[in-house]
Amino acid sequence: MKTIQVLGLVLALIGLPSATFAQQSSGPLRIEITDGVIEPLPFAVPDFVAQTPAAQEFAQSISAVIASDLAATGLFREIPKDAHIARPTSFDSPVQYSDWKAINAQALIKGAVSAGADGKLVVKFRVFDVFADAQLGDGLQFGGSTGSWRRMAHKVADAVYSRITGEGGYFDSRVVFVSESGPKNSRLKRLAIMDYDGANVQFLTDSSSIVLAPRFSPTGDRVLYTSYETGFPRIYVLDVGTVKRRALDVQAEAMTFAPRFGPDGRTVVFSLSQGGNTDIYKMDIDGRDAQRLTSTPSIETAPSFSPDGARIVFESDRSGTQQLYVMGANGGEATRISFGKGRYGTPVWSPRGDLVAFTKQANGRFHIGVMRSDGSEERLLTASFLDEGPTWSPNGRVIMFTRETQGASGIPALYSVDISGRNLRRVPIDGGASDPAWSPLLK
Amino acid sequence: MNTGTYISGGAHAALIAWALLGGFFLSADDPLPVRTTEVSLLTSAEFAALSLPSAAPAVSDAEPVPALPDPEPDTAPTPPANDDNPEREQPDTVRPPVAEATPTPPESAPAPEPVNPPQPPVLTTPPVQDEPTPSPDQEAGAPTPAPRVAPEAAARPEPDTVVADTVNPEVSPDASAENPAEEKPATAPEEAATEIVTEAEKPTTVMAASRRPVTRPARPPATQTPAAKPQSDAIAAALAAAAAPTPPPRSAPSGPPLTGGEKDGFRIAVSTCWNVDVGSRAANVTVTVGFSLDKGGKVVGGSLRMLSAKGGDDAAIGTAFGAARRAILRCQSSGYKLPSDKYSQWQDIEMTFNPDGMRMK
Repeated sequence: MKTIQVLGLVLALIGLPSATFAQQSSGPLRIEITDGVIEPLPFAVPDFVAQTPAAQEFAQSISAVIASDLAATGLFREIPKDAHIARPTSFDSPVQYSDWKAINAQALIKGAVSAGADGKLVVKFRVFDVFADAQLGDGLQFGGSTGSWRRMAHKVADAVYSRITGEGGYFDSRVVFVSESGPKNSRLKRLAIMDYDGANVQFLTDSSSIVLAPRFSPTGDRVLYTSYETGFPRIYVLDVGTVKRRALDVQAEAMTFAPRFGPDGRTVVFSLSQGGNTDIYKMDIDGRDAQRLTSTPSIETAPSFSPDGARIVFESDRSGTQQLYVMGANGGEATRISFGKGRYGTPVWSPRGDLVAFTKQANGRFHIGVMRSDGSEERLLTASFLDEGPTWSPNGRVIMFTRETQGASGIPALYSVDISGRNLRRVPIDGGASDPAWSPLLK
Repeated sequence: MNTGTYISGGAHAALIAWALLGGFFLSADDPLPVRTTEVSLLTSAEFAALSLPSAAPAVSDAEPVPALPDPEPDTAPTPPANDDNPEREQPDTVRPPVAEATPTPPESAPAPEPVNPPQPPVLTTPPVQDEPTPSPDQEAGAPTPAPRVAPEAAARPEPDTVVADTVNPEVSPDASAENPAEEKPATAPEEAATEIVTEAEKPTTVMAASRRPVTRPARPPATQTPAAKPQSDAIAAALAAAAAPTPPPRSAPSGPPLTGGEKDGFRIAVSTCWNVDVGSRAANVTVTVGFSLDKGGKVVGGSLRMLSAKGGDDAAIGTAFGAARRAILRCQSSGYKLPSDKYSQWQDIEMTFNPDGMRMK
């Protein structure tokens, strides 16, 4: 009998919540979604409408570059043009959303190009959220010379990317790198610059001396790099527009290398090796106000400023192995942030300020990874025989780095990877390439 | 409407009272029931006969167990000798043998200038699409026959499709054709995934694991109501949508609520269209969206609006809302499959999109 009583009590207590739920269900139905999918967003870019006969040759090329930019992010997938149902013939014609829904296009980019006899090109576009039956933001247009059609296409792609993702783009940017040729034991190295996607490669130096580690200024008009022109490493600053350069005004007898601009564009932080000891220094680009930031008997190098200029991340072997440390912009006590197995090096602070990218060597393999600036949430994005030298895209979303294949015939190449670890792809460049540095977005 | 609730509450109260107080109404003197079982006596000989173990089966001579193959030696790639940090290279006085021409200043394309944006066109109302006629559900067919073991081995499966950006069918040469086509394998893009496996996480011959910190820093909670700060386009659009004509007034829900299975079906239907960009700031945003459904399970025009969001700035919130809106609208197709007799229970919906479990960690 007692058993029946206890059973009845339990049943009653179990039944109570359902009565309560019946009372609560007078409101709307509440559902929580916690699992989604990770897939590229399908978009459609019909060929831009050529509004003048001279624009005919640019219309198709511009829409192709826009599609290529977006698809290369791995976040978007272009729907092939032969799958389109609607074929816009006018920029102002209304959008038949049902035609685009039918092919599952979630975003539609419509544009037009006109070219005048004076060589001026005008590109205009609109972005549509197909399933919301609405335009995303206002229409926008860019004007420039016909020679800058690629930059205009990149700018359109940046605007589209920004409207869909809510974050800034990175397509209208450039990358400076070390172009390499010749056999592995006698490589010819010269500085080169290209569009972010590998187009328009141009050389900045000749190959008479070894050059290393070019770094853009925050405005993208100057490059710091290390040259062995005098037989030992020395830092130079080069004006990208005029290709004129000058040596940084530091002690002539010291070896200086691993330079990087501060976010103000005037401060330079670098490594100086003298008497067998390597420390980090800071000075004005004109050679004034030199300041020693570290003073330990170990090797401190590869400094990189935080975006706000308040801190510096660098690598040091003061603990016995090569690890990452963070210190204030004026030196002082450094805090170790890397604790995993292996060696960490070449740290670079993200433009967003939240992450630090680095090179890691462990168990005979090299990795490009990211961690928070306090050292937490370390994630390795790549793994290969030799990956090194990460650089951030202007929006902090993509990392470009050097990957070298094994063996005497191995050549270095540039690769990029999304910070999620997806979309690893090689940057198409003829010949060898290493040490990339991404510029800010061009003005 | 509350009759059922009152009856249920009353019945439960009575049941609890009976369970707690029922003992008072029972007599303590009632004799306890006694179970009886008949037994019979066995002699020791009979017991021994019953408890004898059965004869063990004859064991044939076992074949020797084959030895396991020796494990393959690790094939760790040899790291390059002291070549991991080019910035630490020592001075090299060897000059390259050939000097190339001094470069000329690079031609940089002139910066395009943004000019006045074009006026938005006057959009005509698109033609009304005919509502698709729902097809009656197929009648339940005959029960599926039980699988049987085939007398012959199955044919080899088709080869895997090659991953590519576009979908292309397999092309095989036709022997009878005058110019047989070149053989090409089928290609298709990679499938969508629910998680990311980076190159570093793929299994290799060498372990490449790194220690994951035990805890992650807590992010400051940030809750924003878009009505207070309508800054981004998406938020403005959400507000405009909220200001749009509201769906017809609903009657209070009646009848039984949705079952767990019905809710799960609805949840899965939307989640398959919820595309999460795990690397974006929008992946930190949890957004709650309100909308109404008509009796066919389709979203009532203009009812979709953002109710609340937390965890990001305006741009990230706008992006998160856009992704949630696309998920709801894309997957409705001809209407969500919900029980029509419980329409009052799912007429109005508040759906929360929480990417916490998908975010990169």
